[in-house]
Amino acid sequence: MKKLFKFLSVLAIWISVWYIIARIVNAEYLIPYPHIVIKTLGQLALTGDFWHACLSSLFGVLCGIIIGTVFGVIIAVLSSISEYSDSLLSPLVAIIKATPVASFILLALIFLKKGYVPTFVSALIVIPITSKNVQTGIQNTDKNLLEAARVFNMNKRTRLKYIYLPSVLPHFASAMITSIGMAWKAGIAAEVICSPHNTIGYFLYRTKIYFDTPALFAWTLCVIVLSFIIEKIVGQLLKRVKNES
Amino acid sequence: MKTKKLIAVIIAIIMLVGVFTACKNVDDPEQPSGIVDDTEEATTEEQTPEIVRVAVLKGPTGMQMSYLMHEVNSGTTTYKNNYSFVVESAPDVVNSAILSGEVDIAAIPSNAAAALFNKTNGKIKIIATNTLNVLQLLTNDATITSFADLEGKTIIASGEGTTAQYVLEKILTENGLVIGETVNIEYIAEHSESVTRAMNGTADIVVLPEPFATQLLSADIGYNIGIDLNLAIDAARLNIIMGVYVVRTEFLEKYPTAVENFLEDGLGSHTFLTSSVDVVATYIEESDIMPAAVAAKAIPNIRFRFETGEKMKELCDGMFDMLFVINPQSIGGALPTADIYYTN
Repeated sequence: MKKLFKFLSVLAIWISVWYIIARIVNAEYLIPYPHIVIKTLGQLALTGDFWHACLSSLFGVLCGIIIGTVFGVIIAVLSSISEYSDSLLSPLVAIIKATPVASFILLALIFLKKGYVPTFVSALIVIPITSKNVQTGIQNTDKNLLEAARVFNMNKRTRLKYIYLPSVLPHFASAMITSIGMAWKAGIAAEVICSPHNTIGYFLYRTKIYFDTPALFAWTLCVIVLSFIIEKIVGQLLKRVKNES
Repeated sequence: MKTKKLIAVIIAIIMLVGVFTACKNVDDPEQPSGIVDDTEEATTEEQTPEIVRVAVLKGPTGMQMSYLMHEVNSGTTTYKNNYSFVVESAPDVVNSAILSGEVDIAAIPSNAAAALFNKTNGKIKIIATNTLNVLQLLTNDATITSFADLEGKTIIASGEGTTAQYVLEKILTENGLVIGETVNIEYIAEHSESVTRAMNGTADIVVLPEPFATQLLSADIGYNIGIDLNLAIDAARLNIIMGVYVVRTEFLEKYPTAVENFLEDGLGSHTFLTSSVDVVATYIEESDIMPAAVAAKAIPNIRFRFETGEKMKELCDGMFDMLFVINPQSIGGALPTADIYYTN
């Protein structure tokens, strides 16, 4: 109960701040009032296009996250095989991590069809974080346990399941939680630049052309809410997996 | 401990509010308000503005003003207004510049003018038209000479969501084609990208606005005007205004004479453009809009039209009516009221 009260009071304060700022600026095309934005979002939610866009964007970014996770894990495993493979792969990962998202988006636009760019970009966000974390997890596996495994002649599969996996899982989980929010943001940014039809980014871009600032805020709010939802769901899933292992 | 936290939150809020108010003040010295009329009426004697800042684009609008810009920059003619010109590449920059008060007069797309007027409750007004149609249909396929030849083909176009899209689609439907069925349009994000696609052979039929159309023609890689869209528009009796000049209403109310001067000078620049193509072409190159040779070829293809007053209202109304039917959001959701026009 106390938590709910705290949440509501904080929300109330920040919405009041927003309201005050909107009042001072007094121009709907710059800072619309909170209630106008909520109303616009409500109107959007009644349209089929809105839900179609949410699903399209979610699907695109989710695919990217899955692809990125798979590649991240593969890179982590390969890097853990030998010093050399680590030296070979780590510059690649470092470059991917350091390159600005916008550069990826513009580059990908040249090679890929605009519908695939958000997926590609989301994957690229996830790869460095996942590979780094999983690699750390692998490296930090208890050496004593591995020694014991060797002594008891455990086969690869048993070793993987009972020693490596529990060690890597917490690192993997934190990688997922960190990268999902970022991947979602980057995916939407890619959509805004590429404008693939009927995605959130497409409609977000349109609000600029139409000078429809309330709609811009409304779509942005939608992205924020979806971000929270995704993170919550993935968080719960990971907790479940952690408890089962 | 708890009081410290509370104080921190309060300071944070104050800072946030302060930052926003400060930013607003820097951008716009006068507080913006939904109401157009100021509480203090203009004084009986009108002041002259220190400087009249005009923004145009690296395209037909810049071309139309290039004579004026040349005369001002070289000091050959003295004008009643003290002009300062800026030539921008991106329409968005110009739109935000006129909104924030960085410039006083700007050349913007016609639908943007209507949308801005609606969304800002009248902070800008249209004072003159600058171009009718600026699109051209180019192709490297010599068999395409009429709209019937377009059946089953894919057109590469750019400017989705802008007048470029609506005008193209209107022309096609007026000539019996059904978008998505008898003809396909693929939209590219940037005009320059369309040119690139044409250059590397992945676009046989392209619809481009000037100056990109002439850019492609001048590249001399086998593209020619397949169908003259200007003639097509005439034949279908369509009323197309793609670009207009707008002024900040605040500026107009303070300095109506300065705006009148601009209309006079602008007309002069336009007249010179259409009468002395080669000379103006050099001025166009001077303003860094495009090379003189390209400009000289482009000018005859562009329908420049500098209209003011009632004629401007008639032309723009026709365009807005058409856009309202196609996509009301493109003009801000509703037809702009008559006071979008400055008809003195």
